[in-house]
Amino acid sequence: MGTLHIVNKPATRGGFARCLAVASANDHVLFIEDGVYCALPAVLAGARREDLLLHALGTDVHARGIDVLVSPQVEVIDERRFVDLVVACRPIVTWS
Amino acid sequence: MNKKRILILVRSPPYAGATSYETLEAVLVAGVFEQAVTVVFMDDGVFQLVRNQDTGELGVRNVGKGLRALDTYDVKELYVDGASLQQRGLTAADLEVPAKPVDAVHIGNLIRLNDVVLTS
Amino acid sequence: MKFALAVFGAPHSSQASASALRFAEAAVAMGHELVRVFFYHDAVYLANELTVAPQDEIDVATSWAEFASRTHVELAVCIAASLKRGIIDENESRRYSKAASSLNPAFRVVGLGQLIEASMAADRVVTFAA
Repeated sequence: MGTLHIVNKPATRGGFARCLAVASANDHVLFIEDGVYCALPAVLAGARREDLLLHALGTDVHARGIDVLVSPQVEVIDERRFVDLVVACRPIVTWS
Repeated sequence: MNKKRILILVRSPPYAGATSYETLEAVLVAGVFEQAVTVVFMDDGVFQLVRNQDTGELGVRNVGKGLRALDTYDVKELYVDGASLQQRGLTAADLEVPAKPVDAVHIGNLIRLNDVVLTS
Repeated sequence: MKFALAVFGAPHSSQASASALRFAEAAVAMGHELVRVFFYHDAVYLANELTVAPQDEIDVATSWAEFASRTHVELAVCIAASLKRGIIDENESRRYSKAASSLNPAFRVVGLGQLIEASMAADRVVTFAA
């Protein structure tokens, strides 16, 4: 069973980099709150990992006006899908 | 009741606020409840392990001293991220309690092996 | 499935309690069970009854209270973390000779052990960090 990594801060805070360093192949990463800024292509380009499944919480994407800017690699999801991800993964780790 | 494997990732330095000591208390309580507790100190969290912390004048609880209690509460699985130490110019000799050095891959494995992960 | 939610981020200076509520609403709507929602560190400030929310914003504390009333999910705040932050019920207020009490009655003051107990009882634990 894969891990769900929740990233709630922009990349500058270091949590996303940490997540990338320790995540296992096929883990899921969900960007919420200010973490959705990690879903921008310029930020992901520096990520150097292709083996993670990326998601961003739509409510937070929409609030920040970045709907059209989010990378196509990132699946924008709603709260129900967030719940599904939690069901499908264990453990769940939050990175600030 | 189930015994869970609980991993705590400590990423913050000791005296920014109440959070560090509160996290330590949560670790101790997990030990009291006989859970399988593992703690990894990483990023600025490695500063919590530094010896000779003296908070007398600050008037706050001493995190370094508190960490020494972990052993008594049966929390013995302590790890420290080697790269975080190195980036900060610290070595095992600078540390208050013995923690096994690990790297990012190992931390990833520890995450996978646990049921619950709390980050601080 | 059984979930335990740990909320660590303060209201107003983080989205933690708001994000956690949206997750909680979805989880219950989908038929899952919330063993407990445990507020720790600065998140205990959410249980301050004495706040007055601006008209044009969702009052997260009130929304949590309504959610709890509707679903009977326990909203637990850690007693030690609460007392030091001035979140205090009538009994404790009398005991410590304080001028007033401040605890929102929708929240239950509990020991830290309830976080661990909830983690033990749940299939999944989700943390909403600062």
